[in-house]
Amino acid sequence: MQSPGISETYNYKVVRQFAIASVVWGIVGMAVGVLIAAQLVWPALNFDLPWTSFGRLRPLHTNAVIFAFGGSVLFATSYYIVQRTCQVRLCSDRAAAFTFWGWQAVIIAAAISLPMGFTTTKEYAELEWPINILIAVVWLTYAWVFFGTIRRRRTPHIYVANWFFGAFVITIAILHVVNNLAIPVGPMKSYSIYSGTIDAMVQWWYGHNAVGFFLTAGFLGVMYYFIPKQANRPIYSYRLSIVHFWALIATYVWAGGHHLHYSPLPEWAQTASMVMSIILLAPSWGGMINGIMTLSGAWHKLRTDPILRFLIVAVSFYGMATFEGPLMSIRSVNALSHNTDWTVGHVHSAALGWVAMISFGALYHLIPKVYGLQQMYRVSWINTHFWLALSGTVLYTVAMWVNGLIQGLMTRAVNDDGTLTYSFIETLDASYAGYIVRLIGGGLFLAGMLLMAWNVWCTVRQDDALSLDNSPVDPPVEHSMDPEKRSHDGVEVQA
Amino acid sequence: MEWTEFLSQFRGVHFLAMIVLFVGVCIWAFSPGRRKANEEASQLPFADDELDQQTRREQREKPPHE
Repeated sequence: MQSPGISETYNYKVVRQFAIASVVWGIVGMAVGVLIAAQLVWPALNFDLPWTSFGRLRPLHTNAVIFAFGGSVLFATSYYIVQRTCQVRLCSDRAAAFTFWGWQAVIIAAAISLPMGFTTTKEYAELEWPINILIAVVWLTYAWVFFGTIRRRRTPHIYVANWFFGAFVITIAILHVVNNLAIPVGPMKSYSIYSGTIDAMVQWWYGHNAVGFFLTAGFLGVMYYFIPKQANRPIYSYRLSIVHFWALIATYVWAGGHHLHYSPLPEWAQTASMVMSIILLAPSWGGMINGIMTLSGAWHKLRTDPILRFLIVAVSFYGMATFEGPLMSIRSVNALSHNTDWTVGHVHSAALGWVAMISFGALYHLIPKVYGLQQMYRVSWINTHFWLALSGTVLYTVAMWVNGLIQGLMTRAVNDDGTLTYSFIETLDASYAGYIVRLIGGGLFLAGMLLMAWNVWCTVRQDDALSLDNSPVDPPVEHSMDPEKRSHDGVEVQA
Repeated sequence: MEWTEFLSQFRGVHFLAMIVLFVGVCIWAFSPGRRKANEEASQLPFADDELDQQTRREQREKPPHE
């Protein structure tokens, strides 16, 4: 802890950079998603080229939306929150800048190497070993900046959001390093040091905790800061948030085995992961209740504030997805859902409904703040974005649920003589309508993202962004026509 | 000791340890002694407006080409 300094300011530059990057990568990642959704409707859209085939673009989509979009959101929000709740500047501007440019380099390397066909074939860990080393270096720097800042804090307590971010930073470091241990045999080729079932178990220990810590713990940190801030009231129960934190992180790490039901993984390990997945419902819903009940007594704010609507609907989707997840981890339910579009629907109800929506809410709150403005260029566009995102998510998930049940039931149907009733191609044929609806849903979601980008562009291009602060505490400064002053926010945009 | 025997004992011990840990965290979080600290911590998002304003003021005065 430090004594208060008179001239202390926050590092908002790196927050601005990551916030703008998250909008850019959001468009890229979601656009690739819409393209591969269209490929499933019209296969000719793979253009008969290896680089644009579904198998190569699908990992590009997942990496772009999770690590480029989601990652940039988490960097931006964690740097913003850790400074503001510890009341101290990041411990190193230089190291923070390195994490920004390093992370962008990782994203560019992924965007080039994945379409070229370089892949470890490990889901959500497809990147090859040189990129993995760069990720590890950037991540350790991130950990150093984050915990170094907490160490310098001026506040007596570490706010709960920082606990979630801290768990996310540490766990992702461990998961990334352990899962990617490999023997390089060429500049872009390596073999995992694990083999067979153990490789599968390590992979899904990684894969499920990427969901648990990257897409859940990290974004819960976002929730615990931005919902109280936007609603202008403290979190419903701070005590509950402590129990939520410890219960969630202690349970999540055991759940990965549910990806390997009916596999050569020992049955006790499958059962243990299933039990842990069901237990996870309790801390997950505790967190959801904590987030939503923060609005208790101020529900009317939802009618007028589209940012709060994004945040609260995101938490609602979190509740739905964390109910569906434990359900799908039950072995007998998994027998129906596994390898069907139900899984895809589940993932997207969480990814679009929870992760993306809480990100939009946080970005709409944060971007004006770090550009020295009161609010976004057009608040009404945020409302339009909300309805585009919500209708897109609903169309997407419902289509995939229907497809998943159809596929699951058709592949399980058996004739009296024991032969399968349906061939694979018949399940594909039955899924066709759902693929069209999914494409429409994804298109709506992307349209919302483009509207957001336009709103952000207009916001940061305003003459008064930064140079003319319109925050109420200070009297507004005279309108500046100096091109020098006006171009500086443009620099941020290009970054 | 057989591996499976060790494993089943470990599972029992681990299960107990997790229960104790969970109950311990609950008691700790909800204990009356934590009430003041919890209240203070929950107010942290609203306690730093001065630094935020200072950052905005500085940003306005010198464009952020740090």
